[in-house]
Amino acid sequence: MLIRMARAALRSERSVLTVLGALLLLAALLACTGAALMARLSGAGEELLDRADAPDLVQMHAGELDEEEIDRFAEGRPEVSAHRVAPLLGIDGAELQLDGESQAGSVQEISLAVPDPERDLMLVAEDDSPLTEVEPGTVWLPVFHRTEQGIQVGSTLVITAPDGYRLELTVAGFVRDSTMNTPIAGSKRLAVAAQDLAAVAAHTGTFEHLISFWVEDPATDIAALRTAYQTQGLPSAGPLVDRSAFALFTVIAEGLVASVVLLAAALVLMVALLCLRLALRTALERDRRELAVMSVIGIAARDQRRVHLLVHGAVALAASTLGLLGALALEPLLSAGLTAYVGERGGPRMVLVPAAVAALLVGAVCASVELQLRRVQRTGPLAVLRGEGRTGTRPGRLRLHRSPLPVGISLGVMALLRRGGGTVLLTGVLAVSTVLVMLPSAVTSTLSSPQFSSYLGLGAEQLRLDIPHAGAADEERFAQAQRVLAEDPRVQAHSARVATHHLVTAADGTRLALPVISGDHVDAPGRHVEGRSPREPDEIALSLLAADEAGVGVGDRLAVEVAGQERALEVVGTYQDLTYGGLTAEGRLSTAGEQVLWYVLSATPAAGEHHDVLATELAAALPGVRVSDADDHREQLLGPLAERMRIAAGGAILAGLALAVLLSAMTSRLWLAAEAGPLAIRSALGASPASLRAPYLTRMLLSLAAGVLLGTALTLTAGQGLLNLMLEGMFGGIQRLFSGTSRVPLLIDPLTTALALPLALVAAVTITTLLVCRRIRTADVRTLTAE
Amino acid sequence: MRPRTDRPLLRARGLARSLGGRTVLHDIDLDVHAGEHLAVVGASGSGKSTLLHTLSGLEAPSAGTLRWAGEDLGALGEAQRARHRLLEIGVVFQQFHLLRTLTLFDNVVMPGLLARARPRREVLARGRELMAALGVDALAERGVGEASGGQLQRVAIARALINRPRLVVADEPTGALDTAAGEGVIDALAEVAAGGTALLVVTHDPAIAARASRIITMSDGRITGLEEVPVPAATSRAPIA
Repeated sequence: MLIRMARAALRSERSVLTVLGALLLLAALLACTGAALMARLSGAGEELLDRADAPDLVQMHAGELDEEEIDRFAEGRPEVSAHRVAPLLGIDGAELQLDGESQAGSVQEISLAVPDPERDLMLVAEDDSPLTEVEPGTVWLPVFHRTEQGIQVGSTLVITAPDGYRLELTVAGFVRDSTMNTPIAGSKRLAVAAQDLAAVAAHTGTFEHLISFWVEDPATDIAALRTAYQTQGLPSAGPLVDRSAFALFTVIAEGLVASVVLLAAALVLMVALLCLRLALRTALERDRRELAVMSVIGIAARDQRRVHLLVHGAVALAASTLGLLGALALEPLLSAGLTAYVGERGGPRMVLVPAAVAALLVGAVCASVELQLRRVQRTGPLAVLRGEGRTGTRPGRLRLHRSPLPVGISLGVMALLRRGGGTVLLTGVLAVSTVLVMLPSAVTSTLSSPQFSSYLGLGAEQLRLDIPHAGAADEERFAQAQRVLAEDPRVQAHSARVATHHLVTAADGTRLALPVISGDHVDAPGRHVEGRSPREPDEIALSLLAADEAGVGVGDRLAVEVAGQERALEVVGTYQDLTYGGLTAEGRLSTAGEQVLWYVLSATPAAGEHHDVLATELAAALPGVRVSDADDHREQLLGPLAERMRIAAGGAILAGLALAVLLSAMTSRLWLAAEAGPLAIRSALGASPASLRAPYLTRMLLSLAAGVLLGTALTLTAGQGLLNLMLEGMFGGIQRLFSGTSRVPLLIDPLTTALALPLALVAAVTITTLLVCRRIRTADVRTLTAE
Repeated sequence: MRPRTDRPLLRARGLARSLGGRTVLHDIDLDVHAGEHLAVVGASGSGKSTLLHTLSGLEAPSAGTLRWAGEDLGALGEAQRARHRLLEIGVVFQQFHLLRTLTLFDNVVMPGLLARARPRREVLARGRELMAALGVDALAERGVGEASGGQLQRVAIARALINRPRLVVADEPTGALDTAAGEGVIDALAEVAAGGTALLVVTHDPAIAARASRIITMSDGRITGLEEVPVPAATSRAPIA
C-alpha cells in the first residue's frame, strides 16, 4: 500500500521532484566536493612545513650583514633552538631565460641558492625526499615553474650578465620549497650547485640573506621573537615572515576555492530545502482533503508521513549518491594545484568525509519533511474537511474597501502582509539572489578600477621606479635615476621618495620597526582614508595597519626614533596600503644617517609619450632599477585575480538569476495550488484573467523590490566588508583578518551593477511569474465543488 | 411575475455539454426572460448544476448557442465573458464560497470594486444597503469563520446583487443549511425575484421550487418537463433589487 502510494506520488509530482532532485544533486555535489577539498587541505600546509623542517621565523635581508650579530641574538633567546644565515643570489628577471622565455615580465623575484641538506629542506616533487646535492650544470626549479609555466625536466635555464657572461643550466627536476611554494609567495629559490652560484655571482646578481630561526616549543610566542628581532637593530632590509604565513600561502588558493564551493553548497542546499518546503506544501494543500479522509477512515498519520518520507528520502538518496560520486571525480581536478605544491595526500578520509556529508544531506531532507508534515498534521482531519487550519485564512488588518488600488493589487498586498513568515523567507532568498548577482560584479569592477591602485598604495603615478637598498651602489643608482629623469625631455615631472628604518613606540609602550617613506608625497584623491599626507618634518601619516599596530589615530602623537633621538610626530593621516606587508608610514624626515630600505621614484611621461616604450628604455638605461608602468604593475598584481573574479562574476550572475527564476516559479506554483479555491471563486464572480493574476504578480514584485533593496544594502555593507576581509587575508595573512586594516570602498558601476543587473533580475522574476500565472484562465467550477 | 417581453434575456438553443467523453447535457432549448423566476429540479446527477453553470457562463458549452439579449456569448473572448459574468450575472453557491481572507463586507463589495462600473462610494453604499436589507449588516467586519451558514448565504446573496445583475443563478442555495436558515434564504431569494431580477434556482427543495413561476424538470441531462405555476403570494417584506 505504502509503496503504491509512494509510486503514485512520484508520478504526480514528477516535474517538481525532478527540479528538487536536480537541486539536491547540485547541493550534494558542491557540499561533497567542498568537504573532500577541506579534508585534503586540513593540515596540508603544516605537514609540508614539518616534512621540510621549515623555519619558524625568516627575515629576508638585502645587503651585507654581520653573522656574529645574528648568532648573539639567537644565543640570547632561549626559545630559539637553531638558526641559519643562508645566502641567496637575486637575479633580475631580464637576465633569466627559461626554455627561451625571458622572465623580465615576471612578478616573482628569483634567486639562486644552494640547498641546505639539514634544515629548511627543498623536497623533491616526485618522492618528497630532501634535495641534498645539485650536480654542477643543472638546476632544480620550484614546482611553480612546472605548474604555472609548463617547464619540464631537460628544459634549459640561461643566465646572462651585462658583461656578456652566459651560463646554461639543465633542469634536473622540481622541488617543493615550503617557504616560497605557491604563486602567492612572491619569491622563488632555484637550487644550483655551489660552484655555479659562485660563478654567476662573479658576474651578476645581488646577494641577499635568509636569516632563519627555529624554535623548540611549538607553543612559543613567535610575535614576541619577531618584535625582539625588529627592535634590536638587526638586519631587516626585507620582509619578516613567520611559519603561519608560509602555511597560509600554501593552502590559501585551494582554501579560497573550498570556501567558495562550501558557501555555494550551503546556498544551494538552502534553496533546495526551501523548494522542498514549497513542494511539500503544494502537495499537501492539494491533497489535504484526501489526507484527512484517509485519517478519518483509519490510515495513521504516521503512514501518511512515511509516504512523503519515502518519496523525498529516495530522491535525496539518489541525488546524494550521484553528488558524492561526482564529487569524488571532481575534487582531484580542483585540488590538482594543491597536490602539485604539497604532494599527494589521501587515505580513507578522502571518501569518508564527503560520504558523511552526503548522508547528512539525506538526513536534513528527511528531517525537513518530517517537520513540515508534523506541523500540517496538527490540524485534525475533521477540521481539515471543514476547511479550517489553513494559514492566512482570517481577514488581516487591511480592508479591501478602503484600498485605493485596483482589487487584484490590493489582494496581493493584503496577502503579502498577512503571510509575514513566507514573505520574509521569499524576500530573504531574493536578497541572496541580488547579492549573488551584484557583489562579484562590484568586486570585479573595484579590482579593475585604476582607483584601486591608489587604495593599494601603488600611487597615482604613471611610471614607477623601484630600487631596493642593498649597499652604496644602490644609493648611486638612485641618484643616477633622478638625473636621468630630470634630463629626459619625455618625462614631464618626477618625484622621489626614500624609505628608512625607524623604531616607534606604540601606545601600549611596545616598540616596533616601521619603514618611513620620506619625500614628495602626492595627495591623490581617495588615497587617504582619513586626513592627508605630511607637509612638515614633525608630521607623519600611517598605513591603517601601522596605525592599528601602534594604537594611534589621526590627531595623536607617535614617538618615532629619528637620528637616535625619540621625537613625537603628529599623525596627520591614515591610508590604505597593501604593499610592503601593509606596514608603512609617510613622513618628511631627513634620511641622512638613517638605514635606507628602498627608494621609489615616480615619473609622469610628457603628453603623447608611450608609457611602455619609455619604461623599457628607462629600464635599459638604468640597470638594477625596476621600472614599471603603473597600469602594467596593477595588471600583473591584480590582473589574474580580476580575471578570475570576472569569470566568477559571470557564473554568479547566472546562478543568481537561475535561483530567482527557480524560486519564483516554485513559489508561484505553490500560491496557485494553495489558492485554487479562492481563484475559482473570483473567476466565477467575473474577475478578468489580468485581475486574477494581479495578486500573485503584486506579491512577487513587492517581495522582489524588497529583496533587491535588501540585497543592494547587503552588497554595500556586508559585501564591502567581505571584500576587505579578503584583501586583509590576501595581503596580510590570517593574523590580519578582522583587523580593519583594509577599508576599500566597493566601486559600483552605475550602469551595469546598479541598473542593468537588478533590472535583469526583475525581468527574470516577472517573466517567470507571468508564465506560471498563464495557467490562470477561467473558473474551474469543479475546483469550487471540491472546496 | 412580470409580463414576458418578446426577446428573452437568455436564449439557449441545442445546448450540450460533455465532460470526460460523457455527455451530461443534451440538446437544451430554454429561454429565460427578464424578471422571471425559474426553478430547476431533478434527481442527483440529472444535469441540473451543469445546466446552471453553462447558462451562467461558468462552463463553456460543448455545442449549441447561448445568446444574452440577442448577443452570441460564444463569440466573446475570455476577458469579455468574465466581464459579462461580473456585470450581468450574480452567482449563489451551495457552499457560499466566500473568501476567507476578507471580511464579509469586503466579500460583498468585491465584485462591485472589480467592475469599476460605478463610483466606489456608490458601491460601498450599495453593499451596506444590501447587507442591511438581508439582515447581516451587523456582521460586516466579521470574517467567514465568525458567522453561521444562513448568515453566510445571505452575505453571498448580497454579493451576487452588488452589480445589479439582470440574472441571479443559485445552485442548491439551502443545501448546506438547516430548515430555519434555509427558509430565511428562500425568503431572501424570493425578494430578489420580486425586485425584478431574473432568478434561476437549482434545488431539491419543493418549497423553493413552489415559489418559481416555471419549474423545469431534468433527467439524464435533458429537460423532461416544464411546468408553469400560479403567481406566488406577495412577500411581506420589501423586494430586494
